[in-house]
Formats: sequence, C-alpha cells, structure tokens
Amino acid sequence: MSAPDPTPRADHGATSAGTPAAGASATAAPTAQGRSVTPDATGHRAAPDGRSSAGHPRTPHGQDIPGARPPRPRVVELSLLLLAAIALGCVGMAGALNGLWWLPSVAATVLTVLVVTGAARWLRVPSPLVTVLGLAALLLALTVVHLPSHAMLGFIPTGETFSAAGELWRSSGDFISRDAAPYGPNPGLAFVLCTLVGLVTVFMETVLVGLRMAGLACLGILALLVVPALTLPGSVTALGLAAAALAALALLAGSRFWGATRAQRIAPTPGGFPRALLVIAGVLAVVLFVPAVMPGFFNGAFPQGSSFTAERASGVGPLRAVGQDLRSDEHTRRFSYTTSDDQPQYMRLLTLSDFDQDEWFPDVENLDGDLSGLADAARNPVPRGTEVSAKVMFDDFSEHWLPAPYAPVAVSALGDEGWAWNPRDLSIFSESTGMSGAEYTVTSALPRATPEALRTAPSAASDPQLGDYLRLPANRPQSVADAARTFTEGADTDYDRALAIQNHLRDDFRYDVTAPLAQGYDAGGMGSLDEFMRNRTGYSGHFAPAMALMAREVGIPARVAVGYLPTAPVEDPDGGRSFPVSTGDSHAWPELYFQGVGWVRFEPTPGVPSTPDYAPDSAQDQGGEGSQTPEETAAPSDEPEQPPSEQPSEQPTEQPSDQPTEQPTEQPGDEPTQDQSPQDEATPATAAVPWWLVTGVLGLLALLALAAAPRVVRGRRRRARLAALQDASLTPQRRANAAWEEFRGLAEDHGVTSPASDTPRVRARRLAAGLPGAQTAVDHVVADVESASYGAPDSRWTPRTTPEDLTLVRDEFRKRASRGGRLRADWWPASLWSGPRG
Amino acid sequence: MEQFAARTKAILDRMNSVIDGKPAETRTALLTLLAGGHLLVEDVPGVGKTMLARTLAGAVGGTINRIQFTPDLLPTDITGVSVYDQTRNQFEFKPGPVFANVVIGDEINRASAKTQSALLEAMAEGQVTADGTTYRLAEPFMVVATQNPVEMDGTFPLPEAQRDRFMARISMGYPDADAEVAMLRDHGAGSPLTGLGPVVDIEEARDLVRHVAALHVSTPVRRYVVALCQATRTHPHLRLGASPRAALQLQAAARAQAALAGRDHVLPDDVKDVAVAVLSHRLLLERRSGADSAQDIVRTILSDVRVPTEDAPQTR
Repeated sequence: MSAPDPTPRADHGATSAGTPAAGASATAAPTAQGRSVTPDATGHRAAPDGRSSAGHPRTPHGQDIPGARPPRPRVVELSLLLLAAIALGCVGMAGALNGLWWLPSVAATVLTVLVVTGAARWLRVPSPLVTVLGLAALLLALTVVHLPSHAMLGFIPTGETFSAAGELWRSSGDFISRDAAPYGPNPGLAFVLCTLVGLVTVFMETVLVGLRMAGLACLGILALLVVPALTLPGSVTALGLAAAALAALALLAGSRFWGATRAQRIAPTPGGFPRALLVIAGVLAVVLFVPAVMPGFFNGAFPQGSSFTAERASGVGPLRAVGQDLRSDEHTRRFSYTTSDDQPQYMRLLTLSDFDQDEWFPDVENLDGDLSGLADAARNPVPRGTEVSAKVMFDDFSEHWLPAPYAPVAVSALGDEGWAWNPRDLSIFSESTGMSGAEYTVTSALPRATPEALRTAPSAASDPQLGDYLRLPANRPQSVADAARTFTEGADTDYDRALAIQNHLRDDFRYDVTAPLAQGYDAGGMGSLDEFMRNRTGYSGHFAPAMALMAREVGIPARVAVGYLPTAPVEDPDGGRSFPVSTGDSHAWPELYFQGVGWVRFEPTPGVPSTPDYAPDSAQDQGGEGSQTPEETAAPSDEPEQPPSEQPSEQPTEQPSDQPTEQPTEQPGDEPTQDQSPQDEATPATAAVPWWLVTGVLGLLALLALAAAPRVVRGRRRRARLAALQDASLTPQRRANAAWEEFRGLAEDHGVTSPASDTPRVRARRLAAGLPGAQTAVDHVVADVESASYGAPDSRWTPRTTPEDLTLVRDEFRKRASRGGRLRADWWPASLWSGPRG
Repeated sequence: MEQFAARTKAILDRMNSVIDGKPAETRTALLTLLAGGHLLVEDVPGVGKTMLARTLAGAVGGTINRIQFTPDLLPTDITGVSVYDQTRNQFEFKPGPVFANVVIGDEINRASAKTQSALLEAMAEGQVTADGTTYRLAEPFMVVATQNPVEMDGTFPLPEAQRDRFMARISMGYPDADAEVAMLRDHGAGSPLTGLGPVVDIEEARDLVRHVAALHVSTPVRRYVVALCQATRTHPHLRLGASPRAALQLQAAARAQAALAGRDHVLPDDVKDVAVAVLSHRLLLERRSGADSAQDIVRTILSDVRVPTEDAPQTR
C-alpha cells in the first residue's frame, strides 16, 4: 500500500485509548495465562489452585479468555476513601443523636466490613462474592458487638441471635417513639444505626470498587443523611451538609485519581447500562422496602419525641408531642391526682396562641414569678364557679408545665424557687423538669358557663386586650377560612358559631391518630392544617387548632390548650378515688373567649365522646345517625334539655374510659358515628385520597418504569449503534463493529445464539439461518466486520451495511419469532444482559 | 490477483485430472507449496501418494527429484557428496537429489534416523552444508515425503522433532468405488503423467509463493493462532502440544488458504480450515487419552477457542 495515511492511524490510536478495557486486557492476559498454564501442562486439568479457578473463566480445555481477569484495584486507597466518606456522612447523621455514644460500635462495624471486603478484593474474589462477604462481615460485626450473649461462642449467629436482633430492632422503635430526638444512648438504636451504616458501607463498596460507579456511591452518603432528616426537622446542619458534599467530592475525585493510575478509569465500563439498571433497581427496592421494615417509618415510632416542652425537643411542638404520646405502644403513667369533689378534670398544661411560626410553642417570655398573683388573675375579670382542689402526685414527669384544671387560683406545696405563671393564660411554668415523685395541690375555679350566658355574651372581637387571640397568621390555609364561613352560615351569635364549628368538626371529620403521620401532616404548623382540611382526618392536634383558627376567622378570640383528658378513677387502698393519667390521655382542645364568661373549653375532636354541657353535640343529644343538617346544629334552642350543672365544664361520669383517643372502640359512646377507630373506613365526606392508594400508585408507576427500562435502554443502544454506523467521522472499523454488535444483539434478543468459537461468517450463517430475505443484508454486515477485524489496517474503505439492512434483519427476525419471542425481544432483550463481547 | 486465481486453478485442475476423487488432498498439497512448507503424505502403499507428489511437481514446471528411502541409504545420498577431481586436482561437490524444486521422499520412514535427519535439516534450513561450503537449495523448495503407517513392518517412525518440520500431513485414503473405476479406465495404459507439460513455469510459481507471503494477517487472527496452539499445550489428553514453529506454519498455511479463496487478508475461517492438517501430526497423545485421535482433539479445540475480533469500543 501507499505511505501510511496518518488519519486512520490517529483514529486507531484514539480508539484504543478510548477503550481502557483493551489496554487492561493486554497487560493482564500474559500473567493470567502464565499462571494457569503451569498446572495444566502436567495434565492436572482440574488444578484446584483456588485463585486461578475462581473468577477466571476458562473453557473446558484451559483456554483463557483474554482479559477476563480484572486488574486488582487499589484496595487500600479505595477502602480508606470509603472510610473517610462514610465518616463525613456520619457527621450529618450525628445531628439526630445526642453525643458520640454511637461512634465506637458504628466505627467497629464499618471497619470490619471494609477490612473484609478489602481483603476479598485483594485476593480478587469475584465481585458478587465480595458483596456477600461484606454482608457476612456485617452480620458478624453486629453479632459480636450487639448480641454476643445470644450467639454461639459469642460470634456465630444462630436462630436465637436473629430473634434477639428482631427484639432489639423493635425496642429501638419503642425507644424512638418514647424519647425525643436528639437521641441518647440506647442499645436498640445503636443496633439499628450499625445495621444502617453497615449496609450503606457494603452498598458503597460494591458500587465504588466492584462496579466502579463513583457517582452512584454518593447515594450512600445521602442515605446516611436521610436518618436525621426524617427524624428531626432542621437537624441536618450546614456542617452536616458540607461534610456530605465533601464526602461526595472526595469519592468522585479519589476514585478517579486512583482509578486513573491503574489505567482503568473508575467509570461506567462497557456493559454499564445493565449494571446501572441493576443498581437503580436495587436502590428502588431499598427505597420502597426500607420504610416498610424500618421501625416507625409509618406507624409513628420514628419521627418525633414526646416532650411537650421546648428545651429537649427542639423543633417538636406540643401538638406533635400529643400525637407522639397517643401513638406510643406502651403508655407510661405521668401522674395521678385526687380531687375534692371526686370528679376527674381536664388537666391543662399550657396554651398555644401564636400560630405564626412553623411549629407552635407556648409563650415562655412574659411570665410572672410571683405565684400569689394567680388568685386575682383567675377570678378577674369574670366571675368563676365552684372551686375544686386537686392533689397531684407525679410519677414519671419531665415537663416544664404544671398540670392543673382551669382556672387555677392557688398552688401549694411547691418549692419557693423556679416557678412562674403566665398571666394571660394562667399556665404554671417550672424552670426545671425534675418533678418526678413530687406532689402539690392546686385549687381551681371552674368557669361558670351556660348556653344562655354564652349566647348573650357581647362580641369580644373589638377588645384590644384580646387582639393577640384574634390575630390570623398570614400563611393560614384558605380552606380554614372557607370552612369557617360555611360552617357558621346562619348562626347569629358567637356562641352559635362556635357550636356549629365544633359540631361540624365532630361530624364531618374523622378521627385517626396514625394516618396524618403516615401521610406527612403530623400535627403542628399551617401545612399540616391545610392537609388536615383536605383529608378531613386527624387527631386532637389537628382538631383543636382548626377550631381555634376558625373561631378567630369569625371573630371569636381563641387559643389551643394542651394537657390531659379526664380519666377513669381507681380505688385507692385507703378508700379514696384517684385518677391516674398516662401518656395515652394526652389531648389538645380549643378555648374560646366570651365576654362575661371567660375562656371556655370546646371539644371538636370526635375521638372524645362527650362535649361540654354548654356546647352540646347535636348528634349526641338526638341519638340520631349523625347526619344532622347545619340548621339543626346551629339551632341551640332545640336542645336545651341539658341544664347547666354545678360543674359545667366537666362531664366525667359519662366518660369512664381513660383513653378515649387511643382505644375508641372501647368507649361507651352511645353513637356508632362516634366510634372513630383508626380502621374505620366508613366515614362520610372524606374527599381525601387514602395514603395507601398514593403509595400503591407510585409503586406501580415505579414498577412500570422499571419494567420499561430494558426496552428503553435497548432502543437507546440500537439508535446509538445506528448513529455510529452512519457517522462518517468514525473509523470504518468502529462503524462496522457497531453494525455487527447490533446484528448480534438482534439475534440474541430473539433467542438465537452461537458459540464464541464461531468465526464471524460462521456465526452469521448460524444466526441468520432461516432468514432468506435478509441474506444480502447479513452478507454486508459480515463483510464489514471481517474487513474491520481482519482486513489490512491502512486500507481505506467504507462499510457497506446500511441502517436499512439492520432494519431488514430485525424485521426478518421478528417475522420468524413466535409471539412470545417477540414480546421477550421487545421487553426483556437478552442482549442487554450479556457482557461486552469481543 | 486474477492471475493468482487463474494459475492456482490451472494447477488444481491438472492435479485433479490425474488424482481422481481427492480434491481436498490436492488442494492441501498445493497450499503447502504456496505457503513454502513441506508435505507429509501418510498412508498404506499404492493409494497414489507418489502420484500426488509427481503431479504437483510436474504442474509447476520445476525440477523434480525422487529419493526412495531404504534402510541403507546414507545422508550423502541425499545432500550430495564432494568428489576429488583428479584432472583439476580439487574436490568437486556433486549435488544430491535434494537440489530440486520438488523433492519426493518416498517412504521416508524406511530410512535410518540419521538419513532422515539429513533431509530434514535441508528442509528446515533451505540449504546444504558440505565440507564447509553452503549450497542454497532451489526456490521454491518443497519436500513431499510419503510415509507408511508406523504399524507396518520395517519402518522407523519419524521422530516428533522431524514431524514438526512438515507443514501439513494428509492421508490419501482409498478412493471411493466410482473414482477407482475411473482410475482403471483412464490410467490403465501407462502413467497418466505421460505427455503432460507444466501449467505454470517455475518463475510463475515463485510469484505465487511471494503473493501468498505478502498477505495481511491481522492481530486478532494472530491471537487466534496463538490461542489455538496454547490450547494444545494445555490440553489434558496431549503430552506434547504445538510448537511456536507450528504457530508460524499455521499462519503461513492460513495465508495460502486465504489466497486460494481470493482474499487479500486472512480470516479466522482460513485458520480453522487448515488447522487439522497443520496441527494434528505434531501432537503427541497421552497414553490414557482414550479413543480420540489427534484430529479429533484439534477439532474439539477449534470448537472451544473463542474467535477474537477487533476489540471494538462499546457503541453507545
């Protein structure tokens, strides 16, 4: 031939530079073969030299497939890189944890996994096996660190180990539901954290070192951040985010650096699409699966702490804490009390009146340190009814606020220091929370409210002192205002309006303490209220602020009180009756202000069977089906049958159940409509889409996307090959090979294969057997690939194959295939799963 | 290219007109000549081994010498001998029968090992050294040795090292009934070669050889050749595999095969086509290798070894 044309040479060079696998195989092949020839030459064919037989595909006659052995990655560097990345990721995770108590066990777990996987990589164990070994190492580490007493010899996991692990896992759920983030030391939580971080480690190791996809490995860092993000709003600090970003950058840069020095970029290699697909499927599975098994993701164990007070549960408002308490599986007794009239009371802790923030908290700014002022404030400016004294004995109580029936006039037997009260709402505050075991007596003057007094009360809307209680936050949902107007249509007085709002909420809305959490609108904040109005499902943490805001919308001053419901009495040994109060009695209710009467409690939560005497639930009174019209509800003249009693605000004898919100089915409520168990589906007027449907649809969509992925990827690959075939800027070799790959892919998709020992023309004859119509097209493809692979390198030629040839071949294959074969070729193309071919 | 095809076709036609019903064997013989190798024809007496060699030599118009190997044949009977010329008072080299384009070594396994090696050295080197002087052999130079199966009486089996020097081994086998009938009809009266001139002259034959040697062999094909040879070395049923020389000769034979097929480059198919003829006589079977013949083992290897193509970058 003539003098070598530089252009094709340069192309050729660029081509081989672009395929690191080629270079790698060229260097790896001699060593591999040198090693494997020795045992075979002596005739010991089955030479069990574990290393050469494992992971090194060989034909039955000892033929090495060139380049089949992967070069050893930089194990030490990559493992250290992973360690650093995970450590940085844990900085973000630590936001939800109190202190560093978790660090030793997590570090031990990660180190164990990395040492084992690193050693396996060093020994060139096949990649899938490395992952299995990593999981085994994780199991071992978890057993040794957390469950040595349940394992054989302290480290061999047995059935007992797994049941103990399950127990530990569940206990973490209980712990999280009981305690508030940031979490202190707990063996169950440590176990969960180690499991999570360990799994993330195995995942990242597999993706980074095994599959060489550094970008995907960054997902692991993200997984670490998910824990605090879900557990505690705002706990992922700027520091945590920066650390995570640094970790991701380190992963990318480090893997590239060490990958490059091995002349083997850590990047998607040929055949990366199926791998990527696999990984994505795995990630999807994890995303869909983990929430189902993680303790409390949906049932409320995970998210929030249960303290009402601001100090410990930063970010968790009292309303959310009410839900937390109600959802917790085991109820701890908070305190018990006796009353002078032997009747249980609503034990109020605090009130919420400022709804401007994202999360609502009680006012702790304007407190008065002199408790003696309580008496005057409670009696003025309105006259009060009977005075009741309650003797409260704390059990396990760690709140800042003192439970007391409204309105307290005197508190005795408290220490001298550290007490304060809020003159606006008469709640009593303690600097410290260490009140367990203490006891005190509180005397309260119960409001004297009757329907008549309430109805005749002048409007308080213009009272400047109550301006704060009328203020409507700017971000309130429009649905609340609309509902308030709709509910109160036709009601003439403030009292009638309040009653209408209460009864509409009781009748048209559904009580469920878990659904809001599952659908992401746990109580507290305007966002949750908006969702609540849409789904019409919630608990007192939703009903109380909803009514308070609606009342403000129609000009009634209102606030939300948080405390405990009246409970059933237990007989004391000395004959008296005391009322134990546990976390399951947590409750929130609205208080509305009426001139001349004062702050009056309403009960819009349908989970509580009885309403105050002065605010009768129409359904209750009529014994009807609960489908009363607004007119009925708003017509108080129809139901004067319940005369005001001496204790108008309480009706405890009708409500012996101590946990009405928790176990509604046990309530002796006389109306089926009030039996609002969480499972009750037959609630009218719930326009909300159930969460399981949303999840189901999303899951279905994800599955569909996953199912369509092979087809999409195959189509993409086909178009890429056709484009390469027509791309005149490429070398003819590349163009011909693209056509050849596509031809083979088509055959493989349609279930036609040929052994690797076939030459191109034999293979083509075999693959295209029975395709008489495509014979010319196949001949073109074969001629091209032969010229590309075996022809003189410096001869200039152009492939004869056209895209139409390949289309013809495909049509012929399809024509010959069965219906099932066509379906399989379309949706599950086999050529995607076979690796790169030479 | 057209010339090559026409000339090789003429040679093949000539050979097939003489040797009835053996097109594959005649083709292999021509291929060996074109590839610059030597041919070992192995079979029982009387099936036309010598006839094949003579026909080939006659067709290319080269000089032909025939050596009938016998147990008492001496090395100098092959290479030639220095004789003292009394008139000129000096030694004069009398070239032996090896100085010809085609040397027919009949029943080579009847000679002693010493004599055999004299021929084989000439085959390998392309030259003969006598009394310190080196004499080039003719070009092209091809030895067609015939051999009776070693089981027969009075034979010295050819050592492995020497079998390795033959590019290909073919076995004539008995002609089928029709071919044998035709042979009786056509060749009943006298030698069939009588009156047949060469179809190409020796210079043209040299061109043919040069053309073959210039054929392009790509790296994947070379890798395939090496992979095949390595597979024989590690095969459990083989005591001795193919040597690097075998790889060289396999490549050369594949070149000739590709040239005969009218291509300017070698395909793996060409390698496959000649592999059995080129490799099997060099292999030494394990005693416990069972019933598999060397040919069978080569075929197994052919069906196991992956055929490499140019390392194509993955198209995306």
